[in-house]
Amino acid sequence: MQITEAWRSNKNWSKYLGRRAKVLAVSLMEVAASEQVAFLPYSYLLLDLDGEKISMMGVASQNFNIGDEVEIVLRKLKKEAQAEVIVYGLKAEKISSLTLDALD
Amino acid sequence: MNIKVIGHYIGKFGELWQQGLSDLVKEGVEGVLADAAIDPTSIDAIFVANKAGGSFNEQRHLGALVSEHFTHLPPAMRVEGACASGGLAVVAAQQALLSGLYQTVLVLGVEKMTDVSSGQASAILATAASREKEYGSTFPALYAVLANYHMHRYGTTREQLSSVVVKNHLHALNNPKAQFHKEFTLEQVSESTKVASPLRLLDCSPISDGVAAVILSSKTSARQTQILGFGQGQDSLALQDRQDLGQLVATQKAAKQAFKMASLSQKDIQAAEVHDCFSIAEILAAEDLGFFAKGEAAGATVAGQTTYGGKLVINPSGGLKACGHPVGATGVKQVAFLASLIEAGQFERVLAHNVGGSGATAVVNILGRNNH
Repeated sequence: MQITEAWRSNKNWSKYLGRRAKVLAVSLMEVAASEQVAFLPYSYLLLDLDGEKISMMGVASQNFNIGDEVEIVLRKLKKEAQAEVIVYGLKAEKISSLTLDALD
Repeated sequence: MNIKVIGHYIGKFGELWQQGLSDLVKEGVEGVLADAAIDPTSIDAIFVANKAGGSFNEQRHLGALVSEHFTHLPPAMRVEGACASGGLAVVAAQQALLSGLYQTVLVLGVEKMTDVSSGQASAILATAASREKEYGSTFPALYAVLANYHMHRYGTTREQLSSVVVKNHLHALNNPKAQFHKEFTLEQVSESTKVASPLRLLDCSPISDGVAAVILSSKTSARQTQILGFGQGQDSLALQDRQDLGQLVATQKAAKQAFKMASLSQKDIQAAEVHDCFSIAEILAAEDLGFFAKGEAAGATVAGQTTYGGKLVINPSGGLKACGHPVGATGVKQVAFLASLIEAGQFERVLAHNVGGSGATAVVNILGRNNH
């Protein structure tokens, strides 16, 4: 991702950040492009966000299934080189049953 | 429609270390002209299918690269539609013939993919997805999402996905141009290296080099293969913008147009080369082309309905999975291979189905034997 692309993508943050969605379909990726290799294995998700579909990476170290509830959070999108700007973007984080219980 | 396939050629698909992009082009031009046995100056125009020569080989301007093989330098253009580039080039050529502007045209599809690392190749291929909306995905991941959805909705199983692979590798044993001549068991496919769940390494078509070419003509010819109909369908580039993940609407649109133009129905088709870039893609294609109802193609594959002796033969060449997938050449190869089967007397009505990206572009061509 070019840094200019990352800057342009920022305009979507306020629209999606902190919202909750449901997993429509998911794949656990074991192979990725060089920018994402450091995150492997990670999930690629298609989400239902109040009737709107949106796709994104899942946060590292979580397993997702169809029907899981997630929250959209801000995380690193690529592994940066030492002298590179860190690129953040939207990812999906699973809402654990413990968290849901706490909300109830 | 009076368009005939008067020449066809398929080079060997595989890792062709001894051949560069220009070598493949030369092989394709010489091979198809030899098969057609026509005066090269009768070629009125050239359509070149290529996805990413600029990225794989740092070579763009492929129209000129092909045209220079002819002393009369016919007008040439490159057509790009990701993995559907070949099918689109055939459609563009047919449209040019139907317009009456040209009478005989060359369609050449070529891709030289193995001069870069597999990581670079994957990154180049991923440029056919939506860069803004599908960042972090790969093509296997996008088709894996479709597979995950299909399995959840229709109960498609891991073994059924594997049965597509086993069948296509068996078919490729009879195709000398295929990249792979190796049988696999269901277990070997199901237990191969994980790529993007539920898809594994042996669910995926390979990275390939290759060239294929056809010469289409509206002139009188003794050659037996005729284009009966064609269609092209589009859908949104990103999966998230699709109405229904259980189907590829672009394929349905392309098939509807092609069958209408050909005045045929699915039951008339005896063999089909479909776009099995991943095992799930063949199941989706068999359903969206109308050969099987939704949710039934996977079971039909296991039951032997998509091979010799079944309802129709799907991917007799071995498909993208076993014959190989030099992206720009694939759609042209499908037409060339089917034309060879018609001329060999194996089939009379056949269909080619070529898809770009994760289903945003689809092309269907229906061919048949011309009985004069």
